[in-house]
Amino acid sequence: MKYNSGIRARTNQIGIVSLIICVGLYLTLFGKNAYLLSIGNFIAIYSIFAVATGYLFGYGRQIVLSGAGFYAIGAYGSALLTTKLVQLNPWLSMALTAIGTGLIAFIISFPVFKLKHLFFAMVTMVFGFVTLDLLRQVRGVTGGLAGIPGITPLSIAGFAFNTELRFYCLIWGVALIVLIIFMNIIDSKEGRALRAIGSDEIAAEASGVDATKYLVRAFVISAFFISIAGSFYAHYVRYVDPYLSVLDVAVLVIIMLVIGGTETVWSGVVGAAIIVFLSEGLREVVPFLGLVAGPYEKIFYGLLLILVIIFAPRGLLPSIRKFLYPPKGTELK
Amino acid sequence: MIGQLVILGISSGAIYALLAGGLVLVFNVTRIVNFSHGQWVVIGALTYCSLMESMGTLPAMVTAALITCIIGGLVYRFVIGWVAGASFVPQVMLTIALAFFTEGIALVIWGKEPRSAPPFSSGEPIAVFGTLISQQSLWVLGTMIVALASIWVFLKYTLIGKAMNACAVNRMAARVVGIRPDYMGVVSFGMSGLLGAIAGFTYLPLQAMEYNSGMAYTLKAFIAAIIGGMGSFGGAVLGGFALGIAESLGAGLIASGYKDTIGFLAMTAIIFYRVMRMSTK
Repeated sequence: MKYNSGIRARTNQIGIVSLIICVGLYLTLFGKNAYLLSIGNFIAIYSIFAVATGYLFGYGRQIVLSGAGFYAIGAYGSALLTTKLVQLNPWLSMALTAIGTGLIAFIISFPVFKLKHLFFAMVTMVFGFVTLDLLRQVRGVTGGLAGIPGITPLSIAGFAFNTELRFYCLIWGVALIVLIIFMNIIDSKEGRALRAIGSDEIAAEASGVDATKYLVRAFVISAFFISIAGSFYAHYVRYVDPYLSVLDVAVLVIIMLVIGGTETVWSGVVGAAIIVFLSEGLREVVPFLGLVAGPYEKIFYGLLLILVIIFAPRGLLPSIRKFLYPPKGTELK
Repeated sequence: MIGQLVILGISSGAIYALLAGGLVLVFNVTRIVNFSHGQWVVIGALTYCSLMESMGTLPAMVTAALITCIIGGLVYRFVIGWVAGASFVPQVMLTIALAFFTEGIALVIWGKEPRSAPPFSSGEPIAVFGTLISQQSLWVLGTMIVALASIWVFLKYTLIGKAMNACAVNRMAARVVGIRPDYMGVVSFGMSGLLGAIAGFTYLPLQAMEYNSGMAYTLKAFIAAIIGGMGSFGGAVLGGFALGIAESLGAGLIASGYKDTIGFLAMTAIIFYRVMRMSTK
């Protein structure tokens, strides 16, 4: 292995401390600005989404494009369980939805993990696509294109997280917990097996790792947390419609991971921050320069991704880490 | 009713066949799965649309096809060639990045409005066996047959075509006899650009296009190529027709909202059928 777990543990400690500092600094600097706070909230939601996707994409080296589907199931599940079907407690509905999404992932994983590379990518994408299509077509339950309005905000013991500021504190707390959970999973037996499969599936099987078993588990774990990100989205925006997560979101998350670098949990957070700031920030800054906002967004994503893949194929974070902690001795290619 | 739907399906199927053919050509020669393939359609169609009024129909077509062809070759030479030897994940990500990038450029050049073009020949639809065929559908079919036949002749009888075949069969052995796989990659990307552009401007009178239509065509090309076996040129062409007819029948007989879902589910069923058959052998 390239970096031993001691270095990873140190990186994680530095990361947690600097994340808390960054989040706190952002809060003290922009705490009065609702727009900038909402950008912070979306970064946190996308971070959870990206970290959960990155567990399977970055460590297991599988191109999973089903994220949009699980995200939509999480958002719609929460929306339906708190407004239309029954009026459950938001936290209970979130937990039920996440467990349900995990079950769905478990069921579809049996056929899906028989496939490799292109076919795996295409079939997981089909799952996301068909889910969204069903949400559009089954109008009686999901409201069709109009979506579901009026979702209750989250609350603990009567304290509702209904302002940008309150939600900001809540969602970054949750994001930090999810990050710590994933750090521990990655260093556990599950994560070791998944890393072995990612670097060489045949070698891993030869050393007694049941590849399908661990990939299925990773798929379920990642679906569970993506669903939670979707539920938080629903309770934050308090409105869901079928456009909340088109294919673009699934691709965007993968782009976040590639830009951040796929071999650390931090890539999700860094990638989410870069993408959300680029899209929102460009919208703010570029018209100021006398240009139209929309068009340049995609050029920037595309160009950034092309440059990262060509010049820093391992992603930005591993390149920085390699610069900070150069590997000792000769490196095997 | 059903005859009419089949005719509609055949004309969109011809476009899918052209696209899937180009995709498979690139895949065979370079082993790259090109997620930006549908962008050639958009570039070709919109370039044709801009040039048509000033240049006339035929010169605009030739120019649009040549421009797309050259862009295709340049893209391989300067961008995709970098990851020619890399693994599957970076290759796919790079082509997705390219799709985003071209979409952005297309939005800057052509704006957000969907564009269409007048049909190549104006006239009444022709009645065959009681079903009406629009003249543009015949143009689409005719162009597809000519384009695919010339590609087939090119691959079978010219030196470069044979060299591309050699690359597809065995890259290492091709290098041993003095063929440069990089050069063949450039040629194959250029040809896929050419095919995509041809599909774009012949289909434009039937279906308006805008800057972000590319990804949808990429997906159709993938579905058709996978139905045809991902790797066989003839299979991809047949897959294109099968997809076009299935979509049009599904949209007409079940519900038009499920048109895309039908194509996706057909592809999924075929993937699993192949996997099951392989594992029982």
